[in-house]
Amino acid sequence: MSIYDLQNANYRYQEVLALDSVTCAIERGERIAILGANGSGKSTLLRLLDGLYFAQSGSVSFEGRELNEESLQDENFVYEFRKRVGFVFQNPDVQLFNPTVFDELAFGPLQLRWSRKQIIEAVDIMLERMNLMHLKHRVPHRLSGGEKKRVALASVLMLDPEVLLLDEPTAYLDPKSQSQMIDFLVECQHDKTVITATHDLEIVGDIAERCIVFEEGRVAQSGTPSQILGDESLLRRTSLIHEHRHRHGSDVHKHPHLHKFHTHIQGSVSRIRPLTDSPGSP
Amino acid sequence: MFQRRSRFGFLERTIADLAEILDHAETAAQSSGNAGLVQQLDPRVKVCGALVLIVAAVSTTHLWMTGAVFLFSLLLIVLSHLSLRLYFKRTWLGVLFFTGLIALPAIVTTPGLVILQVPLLHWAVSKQGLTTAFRLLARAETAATITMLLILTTQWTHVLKSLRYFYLPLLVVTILSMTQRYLFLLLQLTKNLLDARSSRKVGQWSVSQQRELSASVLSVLMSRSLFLSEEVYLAMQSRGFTGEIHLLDDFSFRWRDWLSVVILITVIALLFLIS
Repeated sequence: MSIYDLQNANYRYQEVLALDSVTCAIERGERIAILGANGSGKSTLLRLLDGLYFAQSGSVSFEGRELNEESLQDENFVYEFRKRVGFVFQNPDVQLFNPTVFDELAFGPLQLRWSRKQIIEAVDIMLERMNLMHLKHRVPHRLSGGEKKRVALASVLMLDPEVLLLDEPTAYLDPKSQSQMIDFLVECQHDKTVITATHDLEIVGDIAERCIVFEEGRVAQSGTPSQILGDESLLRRTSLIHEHRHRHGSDVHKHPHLHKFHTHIQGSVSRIRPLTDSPGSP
Repeated sequence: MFQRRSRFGFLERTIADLAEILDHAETAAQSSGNAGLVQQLDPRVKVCGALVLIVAAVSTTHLWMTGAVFLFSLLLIVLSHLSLRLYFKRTWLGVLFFTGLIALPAIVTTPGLVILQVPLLHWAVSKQGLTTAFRLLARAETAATITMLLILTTQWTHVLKSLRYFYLPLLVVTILSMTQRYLFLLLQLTKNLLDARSSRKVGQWSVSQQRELSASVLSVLMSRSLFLSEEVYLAMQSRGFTGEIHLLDDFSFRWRDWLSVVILITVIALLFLIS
């Protein structure tokens, strides 16, 4: 049985259709990247998968049980569901609402009635693991962007969820913090189902083995990272790449910007995993 | 930290005020962890004691009794290592101003023994009017002092949990909990909005420009803060929050809590007996 099963799921914000007849299945242990431009429905999909929003028509099921208001009011189901599914929001500020970093990490376990001893031990272990011990007694909203993201991730990982939903995990981060975040994600996703919404193509190869591309609330394409990243017309159509124009001395050239690392050596251009060179490129 | 100077305009003053309120919230969170007398009491004793003291101070018709409760609160403030200067600045002055505005008309409108005529206006100030105004002020100051004492010595989550012990419905506690988070978010958001405006400000703004700014900030703020507060609630729900408050340490009554209850009951009973 698939861990998630979506059948013609629709969700609308007043006039705007955010998800349009989405049908897909997610298997246990899969690492999936949900790709799409801003407003393509990625974040809404994650909220449906976390039982925060409910499909207005069609259905979203978790291990065969439909996620709707009725099932999310069943205490036994909610307890299990919240324990097994963790969601890291895009904006860490909305996720950090406790007076200290310690309280932030203890919040989830407290809701699930862990014992005092268990919580104190688990918080310390997580703080060590995420290099956050020095921030233990700090006020979360006074931390830097990267620290906030790490605290938000740590607070979700506290419950060791089987399913991890990540909404733009590298947003708001400087390059070093981005790299650290990817390392954390790669490290913590063993044996987990990890569903990451992003438009950062650079991280896809590291965090996913399947990509689902969204376009205006619909599934536009699904495939392995190499299949998706190799389909330039799809990436252009869904605004995941754009024509990048820049200058080397007196030479101006352009190429598709894939948000991947590439180097410019001695006036020539060499790229790692290049797409097609545009005419006139040196 | 912003310095308040008269040459600063509306924008800077508002930002400074917001920064001060945010600082104040942080001070409250920090001072609740101090090793003072009231901080060490069980939160249920503090919540219950605060309610009893406030009721005693505002329900009595004897000014001296309100004064006695106020003095008792002052003693608790000192024993809790809280700053009286901070109290004066952040509580007493504000209450004096706002309650004063309400109480002022009572001085000249309450009939009774005239003790003073206001020159030029020929308004008669009565003894009864002065007493009424002073009583209102004393009650408001005492109630605010006790409330601040509770806030500065108790974490907000502990206050909420205590309210559940007194059978306050879960819905009300959830609303209170979300209101606090909403207000905090609102303050942060307002400060960010004004900071952004301030960074693009060139020269002095006219009064009409300042009014325009206030109106635009208010409209943006309402929709943005509603959106953000919903997001915060979803983030809490996602981590298992159902409205019930769970704490790391469950409350337990110790000898000093029982002693406090006895002292409190004795003080209140004595005051009522004497009055």
